[in-house]
Amino acid sequence: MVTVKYFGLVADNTQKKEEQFLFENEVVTLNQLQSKLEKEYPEIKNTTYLFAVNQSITKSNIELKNNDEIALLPPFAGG
Amino acid sequence: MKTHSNRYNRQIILPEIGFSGQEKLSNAKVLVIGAGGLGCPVLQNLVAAGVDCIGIVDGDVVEETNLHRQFLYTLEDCGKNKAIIATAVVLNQNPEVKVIPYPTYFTQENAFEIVSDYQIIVDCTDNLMTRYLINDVALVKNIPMVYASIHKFEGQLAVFNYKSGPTYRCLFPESESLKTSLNCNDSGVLGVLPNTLGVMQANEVLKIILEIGEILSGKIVLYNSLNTTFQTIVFTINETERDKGIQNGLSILNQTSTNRIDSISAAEFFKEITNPENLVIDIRENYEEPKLAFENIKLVSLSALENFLENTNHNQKIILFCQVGDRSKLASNYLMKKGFTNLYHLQNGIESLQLTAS
Repeated sequence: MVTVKYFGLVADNTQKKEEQFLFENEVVTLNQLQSKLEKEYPEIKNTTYLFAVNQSITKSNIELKNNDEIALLPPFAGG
Repeated sequence: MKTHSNRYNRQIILPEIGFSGQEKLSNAKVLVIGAGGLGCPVLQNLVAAGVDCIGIVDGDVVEETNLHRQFLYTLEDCGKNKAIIATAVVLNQNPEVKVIPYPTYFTQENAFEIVSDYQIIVDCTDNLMTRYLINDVALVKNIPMVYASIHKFEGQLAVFNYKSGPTYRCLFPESESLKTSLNCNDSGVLGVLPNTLGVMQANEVLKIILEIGEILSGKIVLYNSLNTTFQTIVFTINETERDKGIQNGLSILNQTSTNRIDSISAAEFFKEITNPENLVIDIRENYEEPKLAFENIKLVSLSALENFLENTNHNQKIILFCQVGDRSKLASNYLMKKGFTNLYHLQNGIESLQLTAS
């Protein structure tokens, strides 16, 4: 199980701040999670955001582990 | 060493600050870009702490819808330039510091002129394009950029390019789809949020100047004001993105440096001001001292300059001066773009003149 947290415009699209996902396959990569999220919330495809895994920005397609915390982090513009 | 009034006593008695820390503050030059929701608390806190010289860049005017979160302004200020009003208000708050208004937007054309010899840039803007510009200029100048931004009830805070650390581009590479990001005007904001983030930016600025604590470099703090949570996310340098920023910054520097205005020395200046054919303009604000007592000199502040010169022949020889020479250079550049051809400005400003006390 992994926890996914949403910020900024991404949270506006998902209408929630966080949720948990249970995967049946033993090995799940970040790209696979991204596909699942984009299927569930198609609007986030039009939003720029980064992935952080366990509080560290991650730009490669790593394998996720049980209890990982994944954040979807868009840039903010307001000031 | 400068002498300090009792004003700073309660911070000087902190062992981490002391007189040596106050001395660092009284020698620091900080540029605040954007005098809105973030910029107002940043300015109030830097001025209060005794940061020696603060530049304020904003081309926008005060609107009634700003007043619930931008506490430097009142109803009477609506329609007036934010940099000019903010300067007057914070100077009233602490007359011991220097504050320089730049009543213009921060653009590729004026970026390097304005940044000049400031040591830290505080990014209080509300759009991504200016943020990339600030990032790239800061990279070329090798100075840190203290960033914050907000979205509804959330805020982000980070320090970029601190001691060659990761940059804004390392975190968020520039892309076409970025243009969808909203600003406060579109998405709404409760006043406490930008004030919270602005105070946190001021805190990072003071830590950088004082060389205390841990600077928020290579980390971004995410604050959610609805459930009062903070989360820190780490990131590293992306060499490709960093280089992109440096290349872009250098190309902007090269474009603007071909348009040079003639600067004149103090000796030439004294010769020129006695010639009644010349139009000599003191573009400083009313409160700036010392004044020069030559009847030939016109007092026209920066914001009134364009109107003042409306009917002036474009070939008229014009000599501009200000306090240290940065604003007069900026104004000369601006007038050149408006078609004036015979422009000079006093290098290093009035402070370069050896004036005898009257």
